Formats: sequence, structure tokens, C-alpha cells
Amino acid sequence: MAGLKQDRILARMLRLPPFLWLGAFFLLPFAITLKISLSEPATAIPPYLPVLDWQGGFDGWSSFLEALNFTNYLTLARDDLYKAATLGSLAYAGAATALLVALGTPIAYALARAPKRWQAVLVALVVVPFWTSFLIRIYAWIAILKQEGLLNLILLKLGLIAHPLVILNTDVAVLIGLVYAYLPFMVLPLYAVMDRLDPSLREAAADLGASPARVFWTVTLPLSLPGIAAGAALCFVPMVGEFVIPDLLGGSETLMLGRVLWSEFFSNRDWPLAAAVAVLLLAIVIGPVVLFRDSLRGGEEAP
Amino acid sequence: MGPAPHLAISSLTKRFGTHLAVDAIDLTLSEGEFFCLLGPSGCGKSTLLRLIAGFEPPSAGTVRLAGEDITGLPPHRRPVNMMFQSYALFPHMSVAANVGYGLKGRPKAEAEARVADLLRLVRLEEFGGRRPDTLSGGQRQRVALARALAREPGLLLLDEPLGALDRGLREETQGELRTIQRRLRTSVIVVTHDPEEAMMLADRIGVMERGRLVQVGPPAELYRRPASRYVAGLLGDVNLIPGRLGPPAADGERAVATAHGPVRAMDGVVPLDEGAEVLVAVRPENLILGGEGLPVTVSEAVFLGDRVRRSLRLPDGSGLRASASPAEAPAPGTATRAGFAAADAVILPA
Repeated sequence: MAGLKQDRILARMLRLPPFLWLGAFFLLPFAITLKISLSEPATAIPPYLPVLDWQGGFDGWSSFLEALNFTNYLTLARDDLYKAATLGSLAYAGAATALLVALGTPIAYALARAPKRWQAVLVALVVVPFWTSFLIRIYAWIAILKQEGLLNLILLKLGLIAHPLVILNTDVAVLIGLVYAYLPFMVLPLYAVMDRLDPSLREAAADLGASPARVFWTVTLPLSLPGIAAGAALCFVPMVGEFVIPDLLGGSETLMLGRVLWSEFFSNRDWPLAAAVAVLLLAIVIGPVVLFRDSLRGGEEAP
Repeated sequence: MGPAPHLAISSLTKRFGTHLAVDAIDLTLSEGEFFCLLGPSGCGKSTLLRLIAGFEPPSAGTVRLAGEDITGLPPHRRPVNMMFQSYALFPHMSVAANVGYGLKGRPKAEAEARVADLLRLVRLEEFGGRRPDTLSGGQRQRVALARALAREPGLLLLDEPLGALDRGLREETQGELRTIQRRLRTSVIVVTHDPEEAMMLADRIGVMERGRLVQVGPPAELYRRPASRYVAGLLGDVNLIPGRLGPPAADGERAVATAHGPVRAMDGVVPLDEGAEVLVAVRPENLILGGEGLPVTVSEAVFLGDRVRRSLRLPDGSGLRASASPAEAPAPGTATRAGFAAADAVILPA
């Protein structure tokens, strides 16, 4: 019996590390951010008021709580810049997610239908870009998209355009960058679901007279929806808060929350307001995560 | 020559790398025939079925259905429907949508009426709105059958149709399958590894061994006059007694000299020369104890309800099995003789 009890204690302790990790590196920083976001607006360095008096007991806590204020959130709600940045973030992330679904679905399908001995190689090719630094790959896109860049050079040489296109520092460039950077996160979960689909379902559909196109639309695609949902959530959530891609490839008018957050922290040094933006960002992205929790968990069909 | 065959397969071959999965098979089926491909797993029977359905292109040979060469047609253009071993029901569609999947392009009212007819045929009228995963194994099997019948196929292929069902349900479903097939007069090829199922369902059985069709015939003929020890063993329990072939006697009978005395048996399908090493194949239920025959000792008797299975020992220590009704009962330890009618034994090449 004693052994059983010890086992149970050990089992509980083994479950601890992930919670400690999340507590130390997510919950605690978030609590600090939340506290700063509820401080008095101040363009300065810490301490941000109010300060919790640890020796003050209950009175200390209550006076601390009373002094918290929502001024920063009111600023966010009133200033059109933040509204525009929020909508901008959602619009860019939404458009890029739509493009990723449109592009990722045929890629994942081709991967899943490729001969088994090629699949490992092809999946490895999808992951290969990760061997190079993300930042360097985005810089490479600057070289490709700029006016005297590779893309314009090729298009001019082919005679498809008469004058170089302005792509860099536009919305198009941001979308190209987002789609490029997040494509593996769309393709891999979708491929995992498609690869697991019973091939006899496709055969049964073909056997019943369905053309290859009808097999895809009526059998393969509906049964792949959990994978599409998982991939879309995996891409949409980080894209909403994306900073590097809009900063490097976008123009001055590219408004996304990540960029606003960065400039509040580093240019304006308004930490309380920046912290409020961060909390807003988290609130936005938590929505899809909760919504797609089931498909993120493993793409299993609900019974 | 009768009418032209409904299905004609000639020299159909499928190679996977260097492995010959299906080896130059010739087979014809008449309309309305229930044909069974029997063999152990890996003998190529499922591959043959997939070649007929069009899921795999053959390496050589042709498939003709109702006079038309369908060898090059993709599966969705073949008037052939298949019921899969796993049933392959679409999990995201209702039972009615599954059954009606093959009816696209027909007027809506007609398709709905057809689905209702099919659900009635397989006794699932109440289940049209259900999802496949809410049904039992037997119900799913019937949905799969209804779906495969929806397009009134010229040929219905069944891949281990009852493999996933438990024993009682299997026997019931076998009878049902046979009844439905007789009513619709559909030509059917069923693949199975279960000899009882094959004998119960089929008009003719084709036994496959390593990609080849080794013997084709009605169940009783295959059971009584197998062409080889492989076929004899596949269709049921059999005693194989080695011996040397003697001269021909009357009515296709022949004498065979065994180590324990002479016996008489019927000539096999394969012609053999006098003096050749042969096996005499006798089913356990055809061994008669206590009369003329080979000297044996009863070593064990197992009561199986409707019959008793006895293990017998020949003087050289090799064993035989006899199956008889519980009434006639030499007890273990008894020395007796085991004989058989010449008509119940067949001579096979060793």
C-alpha cells in the first residue's frame, strides 16, 4: 500500500514540470504585464503606480486594488489608431489564412497522395526552410521583392511588364511574407489528417461513379476539415501578433498590433499603454484557440 | 458452346516489382452466377478483385464485361461495384446519403425512391438518418451492401464481406446475402479465406494459390475431388495416406499400395502413371471404423456434440482422424480397422 501511495505522489510530481514552466514563463510575466497595463499612464521607467505594499497586509492589498485604473484601456478604445491596428491585424491574418488554406490544401493533398517512399523526403522539404533563420529568410524577400529585385528582373526579362512593379512595402508584400512564413504550419497538420484518411474511402467513392474531382470535394475535403481548422488556427493566432514581417516588408501604412506594441514599448516608452495592447492581443487570439481546441488536440472526429 | 460469358478474364497478370501477385488468370462467369475466390491471405485473391474493380492497372491481360473490354477504364466508369472489407462507409454522411452516393445525376425523387427501396431490401428502413458510426457491425455491413447495389452493377464484388462479423451473425448474413443475390440475379464475385462461407455462398469456387487459380468447380466437386493436397486441405480437414499407385480397376477406381495394406480410391483430376508416389485423400467423416481396412489404434476421442472426433494411430505411428456420430463408439485404446469406400477417396499427386 505504501508503495502505491508513493507511486501516486511520484506520478503527481511528474505532472508538475509543465505547470511550473507555464507558471514561471507565461503566468507570472502575464500577471506583471496585466498589472502594468492597469497602472497610471506614465511615459517613464518603473515603478508604475500603484505599487503593492507587501508589508501592508489586507489594507495594503485593498488600497492597491482601489488604485488600479483602466485609463490605458480607455485610451485604446478611444484612439482610432488602436482600432485601426486591431482591425488591420485581423484583416491581414484573416486574408493570409484564407490564402494559406487555398494554397496549403492542394500541397498537403499532393503530399498525402505521393508514393509512400517519397513522402518522407517531401515532408522534409516542407520543413527545410526552418534550417535558415527566420529573419534571414524575410530579409531575402526584401531582395526578391524590391524594385530592382529578383522578381522584377525576371518579369522584365520575360517581357511580362514594362516597368518594375512596386511590391515591397505594400500590403501585397506583407501577405507574401505571411503566407511564405506560415505555409509549413498549414501544410503539416493538414497532411497529417489527409495521410490518415482510409484510402478505401476514396476508392469506394470512385467505385460508385465519382470522378476524381467529386471524390475530392465530397470525401477527401470534408474529412480533412479538422486538419484545415487546426492549420488555420496555428497560422491565424501568431499572425495576428506578427511583428517582423509587417515591419520589414510592409509600408508605413501597414497597421498591425505587433508593430503598435513595439513602438509603444520602444519608441514612446509608454509601458502601461503597451502592456494594455499586449493584453488586448492575447484576448483576441485566445478566441480562435478556444474555438478550435478540439481540432488542435489531434484532429479527431467528434463522435 | 453456350451463350457468351458475362465476365471474361484472360491471362490477367499483376506484378508488384518482381512479385507476381496475380499470375496469368483465365476465368469466365455467366450472368447471375455467384462465384467465390478462396485462398489464404496473400494468395492474390484481393488483388484480382481490385484488378476487376479497376483500382490497380493490370501488368498484362484483359477484363471483358458483357462483351465490352473494360481493362483500360478507371473505376468510376466501370459498371462494377465493390463492397469493401472495411465497408468504407463515408463517416461524415448519413446512411441514406451513403446508399445514395452512387445515384448522382438521377432525378432527385427517383434517387430517393431507390434509396428507400434499398434500405428496405437490407431491412434498415428506420436508419436512413443515422450516421454509420452509430450502427452495429452487422448493420454497417448491410449499408455497405445496399450502397454497392444502388447502381444495379453488372457485377458485384465482395471483399471478405462477413470477415468483421461474429459467428452467429455471419451465418445469418450469409443466408441473407444469398437470398438477395438470387432475387436480384446479380453476378457476384466474393473473396474469402473461409471455406465454409465459400461453400455456403457460391455456385462455383475458384481456389487460388500464390497468384494462380489452381482449381475451379462447384463446392461439392472441390470438396470431394480436390486436384491437389493444397485444395483438399483448404476446403476442410483431410487424411492423406501415402502409397504407390497400382493398375487401373473398374469405374475409375484404382488400387494403391500403402505401407499398411492395399486400398482403393478414385482417380484424381491430374493423370498419374502406375508406380508413382501418391497420396490417398479421405475426409474424416468418410473413415469407417470396425470393418475392413487399415489396422489402427484409437488414441483419443473428443466429444463435439453432434459427432465424435477420434484420433487414430497407424502401426508406423502416423495419425488419422475420423469423425462419426457419437453412437458408434470404439473407446480409446481399442485396436480396430479403418476403411473407406473407394468412391469417398481420391488419389492426389504426392
